[in-house]
Amino acid sequence: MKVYNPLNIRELDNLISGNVEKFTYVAGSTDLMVNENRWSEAHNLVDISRTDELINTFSIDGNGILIGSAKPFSDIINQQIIREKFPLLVEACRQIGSVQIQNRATFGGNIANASPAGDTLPVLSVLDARIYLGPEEDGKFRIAKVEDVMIGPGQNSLQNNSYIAYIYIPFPDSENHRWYYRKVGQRFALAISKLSLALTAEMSDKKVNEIKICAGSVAPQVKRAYKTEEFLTGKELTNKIIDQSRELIINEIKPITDIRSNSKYRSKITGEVLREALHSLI
Amino acid sequence: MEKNKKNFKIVGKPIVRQDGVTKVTGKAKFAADYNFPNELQSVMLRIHSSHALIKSIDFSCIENDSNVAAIIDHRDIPGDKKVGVIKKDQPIFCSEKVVTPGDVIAMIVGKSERELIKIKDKIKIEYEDLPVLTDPSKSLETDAPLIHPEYKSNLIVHYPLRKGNVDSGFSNSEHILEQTYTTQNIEHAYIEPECVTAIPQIDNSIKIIGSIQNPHTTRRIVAAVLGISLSQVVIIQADLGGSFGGKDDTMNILSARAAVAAIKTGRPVKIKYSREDSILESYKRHPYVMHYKVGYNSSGKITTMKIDVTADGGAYASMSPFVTWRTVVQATGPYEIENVWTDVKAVYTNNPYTGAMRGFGSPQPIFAQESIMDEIAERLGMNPVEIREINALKQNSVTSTGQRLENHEVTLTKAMKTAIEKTGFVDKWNNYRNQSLDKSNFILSGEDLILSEDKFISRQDKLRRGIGLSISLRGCSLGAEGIDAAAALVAVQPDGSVYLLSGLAENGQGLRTTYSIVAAEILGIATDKIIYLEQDTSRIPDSGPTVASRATLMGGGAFRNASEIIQKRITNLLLNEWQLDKEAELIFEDSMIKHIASNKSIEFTEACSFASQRGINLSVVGWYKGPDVSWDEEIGQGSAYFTYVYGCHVAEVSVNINTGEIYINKITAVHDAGKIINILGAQGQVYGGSTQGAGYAVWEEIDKHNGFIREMNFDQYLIPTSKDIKSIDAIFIEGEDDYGAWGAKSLGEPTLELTAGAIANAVKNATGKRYFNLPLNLEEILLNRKLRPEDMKRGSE
Repeated sequence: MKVYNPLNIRELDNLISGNVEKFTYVAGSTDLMVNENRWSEAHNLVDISRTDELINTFSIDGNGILIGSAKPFSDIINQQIIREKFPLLVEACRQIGSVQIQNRATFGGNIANASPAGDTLPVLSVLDARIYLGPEEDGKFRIAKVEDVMIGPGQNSLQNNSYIAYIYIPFPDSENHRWYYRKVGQRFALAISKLSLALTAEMSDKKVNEIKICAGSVAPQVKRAYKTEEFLTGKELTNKIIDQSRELIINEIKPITDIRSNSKYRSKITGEVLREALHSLI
Repeated sequence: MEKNKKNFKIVGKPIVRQDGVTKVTGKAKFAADYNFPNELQSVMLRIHSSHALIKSIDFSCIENDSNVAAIIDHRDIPGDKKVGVIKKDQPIFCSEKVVTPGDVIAMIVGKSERELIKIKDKIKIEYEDLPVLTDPSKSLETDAPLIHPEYKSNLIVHYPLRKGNVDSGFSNSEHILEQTYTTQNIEHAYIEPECVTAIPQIDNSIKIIGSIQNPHTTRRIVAAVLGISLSQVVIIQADLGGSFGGKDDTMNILSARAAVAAIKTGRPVKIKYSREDSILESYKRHPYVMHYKVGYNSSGKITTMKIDVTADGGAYASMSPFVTWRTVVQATGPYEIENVWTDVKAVYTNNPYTGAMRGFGSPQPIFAQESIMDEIAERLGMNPVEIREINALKQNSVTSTGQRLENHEVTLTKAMKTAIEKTGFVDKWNNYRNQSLDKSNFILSGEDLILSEDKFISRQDKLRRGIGLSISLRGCSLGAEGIDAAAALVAVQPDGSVYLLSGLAENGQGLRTTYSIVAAEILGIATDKIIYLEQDTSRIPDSGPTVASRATLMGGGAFRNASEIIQKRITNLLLNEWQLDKEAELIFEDSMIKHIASNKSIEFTEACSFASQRGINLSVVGWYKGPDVSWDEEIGQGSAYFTYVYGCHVAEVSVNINTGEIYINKITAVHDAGKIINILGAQGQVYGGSTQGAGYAVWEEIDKHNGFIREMNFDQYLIPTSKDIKSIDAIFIEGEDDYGAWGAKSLGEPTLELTAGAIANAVKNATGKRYFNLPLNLEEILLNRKLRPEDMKRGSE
């Protein structure tokens, strides 16, 4: 196995451009050693944890924030601006694995790993995050949504050695922005989710102006609950409406039975947690 | 009991464990840290079947492979090809049949484990699958496949217990309650997987160093398998990374395999398991199905119990005969009951085999007993404390085995009283119960879900608090399981420094520190003057296994014996030298030896030097043998154990009735372990045991599909982390007893066995709903439904 350590994006792009071999990217490497058998097929490992732009980029403009894909979660959630603007993101990242994992693991890894139980995916989805995919073509990164990159269990859409360079998260554009995040796992730390549910909303008192809902671990892909969102948009949140939306989201998700839970339980709690979430908005 | 009253200088104080610093600094040397020149690595050969006839094995395609130093199978074994503590049913290498997926047919040794793994699949094995038996309740049906046909039945053992007359007992009872409880397979989850190296010696003996719980047991097995004498086998124990009863049979067998390979190749052979190997092949805690029928009167007095227990022994008998024996003795719990009829059976299946694990046949019935006691209280309008006060064993009570509890202080109700006062149990229990009985927000009945479908449950309502308790008695040490004796070497050197060694082995519980305290107390020296020797079977007598929470009791007794012999020898020497009366008493303390009246004194070190010059032997092997016990197999009556310990756990929980999540807010653990030798060690036992007990209650389960384990690593087998239990309050009440060192008894297992019963009762108190199956995981709480293999489709990740 060969391991490459590109120190900046130029070195990285030089390495892969025109190269027909397959490269495997690692940043925090939290899944590398524990999945030794799977990775033993990877002959070219590219360690991007020292690639300048990917690890150091943290730039803010008027509309949002651009974060290097190899930046560990701890570095991100300890930034004051993140705490102010994205408490949802902080909450979700703090529940990932353990502090040790948070010190190593990255957005890029969480997305590329493409687990339906990836805890940041529903959050990035409801925050409308944009994923910058390299290498640049004609001086431009390709830009995609989370759900365009994570396309199935363990499957991402990254072809031809393309890599995740940055994550751009726009600032919520309203003073009435509300959020909710809930992870249900069998224990408090180091547990893979049975459900993670992220929600953002803009409210006028009890009326929903706009709402985004995304549940993880309850479908092969990370998908927004568009039908439920549509139903709720423009409505006053009453107990009746909340109960109806519970039925809607249960029909919208496709939970499976696997080693971590069964479909009946996942359906049940997705409905209950959505009720909790909606109730917290009023 | 007068002799136990002593003004202790060190005993009972917080003493930091001797191996603490090396372990936290990474300097401790575990089995895998030992490497030897020319060492070979090993890979196990298994087939993907739970039950199969082996037709043929063709090694020819790897025989000439340069990576292979040797192929080892049953033909290489000169001695016993099968081993087992009671039934010799477990092959070192399978030759005719495979009876569970962990079974090993052969072992390949070579320089590189990685290369061996690659070529292993080239070996051609023909086998014929046989019908698979996984449900222990079907093991004894006439058409059940026989796991070991030579025994003509799948019954491993059956223990009856008959006391009084249950027929008249039930007909005279005002009420009868029947319930069935089930518990799950549990993995020990020691952090260090199995590892052992066998090194052939020039004199044809063999030396073995490994992660071995019971070195003398391993020695016996290895000698039998090699067909050589005990003295030709030397077992050295490496620092052990956890055991919990789990590094016994498996390590004996791995040691035997390594030894056979080392003899064959003439080179050191190491077996080092991955976590997956470990979970696949090692034994587990028994799943139980327990049926309880209880007759009781409106006064709360329980008159009659009929209990039927089936334990899944899995593929091999292993410790099942001993584990289920403890169950038959303790199945009625710590209650005095006139009429008892108990049947405990262990049966074979094709599941992973089950054996010793911390608790050893008690956590299962305690969950059942303590659940049914609360249910009876509920039906009679009593609280959990009242029903137990009426029925609990007290001084001079007679147990279900007909043993009168008279030779030690029976502290059961004292333990319970301490726990309920400390937690404000009764008030909390009543408040939470009234809250959970308020059904305006949710529905509770039978199989129905907890939540009502039409009412929204607010944040405050969804988190329900609950409190629950459980109590137990536990027989100390082996009881009528076997001979109960232990040795202790105390070797005082001419400069006053001291070597210690016992045949009981450090398993991480802090035994070396405990023993050092016992010796230091008697000799009046500081524990840092004591060096504990490497555990080596050639240097100390067999002291029985380090099991059954017996090390402090038995080894403590042996160290007290040895130290007192040395103390006596020094005393006699000094009395003579100081021309004092032969009966005069000398005080050994603060590294000095003093005679108060004559104001004579000498430093301990000087006294040792003096003794050396006078030719006095200050190296002594002490011995402690437990008093005799008795047992009538036919009716399950007798003095099962020579003494007992008592305890009470109170669990305080919150249950999220939207999601089924259980939050464990506090465990209050009150134990009478007799005299506490090292308060730090004792607290450590309580913190660890209660946490492990909570794991049993809420998270842990080895689930099998057709005999195959699904949770092969710790990403799927979830043990509690430090975040999962908020606080644990460890309280000790020191009941008087004569045995061991000043009446220091058992603690390791009592700390684990009580927790699940207390948590289950707390969850009932919180939700108003009773659960009958462990673990109480999210799905069980919310849907009354476990994850079961039949639910499994292809996984998503």
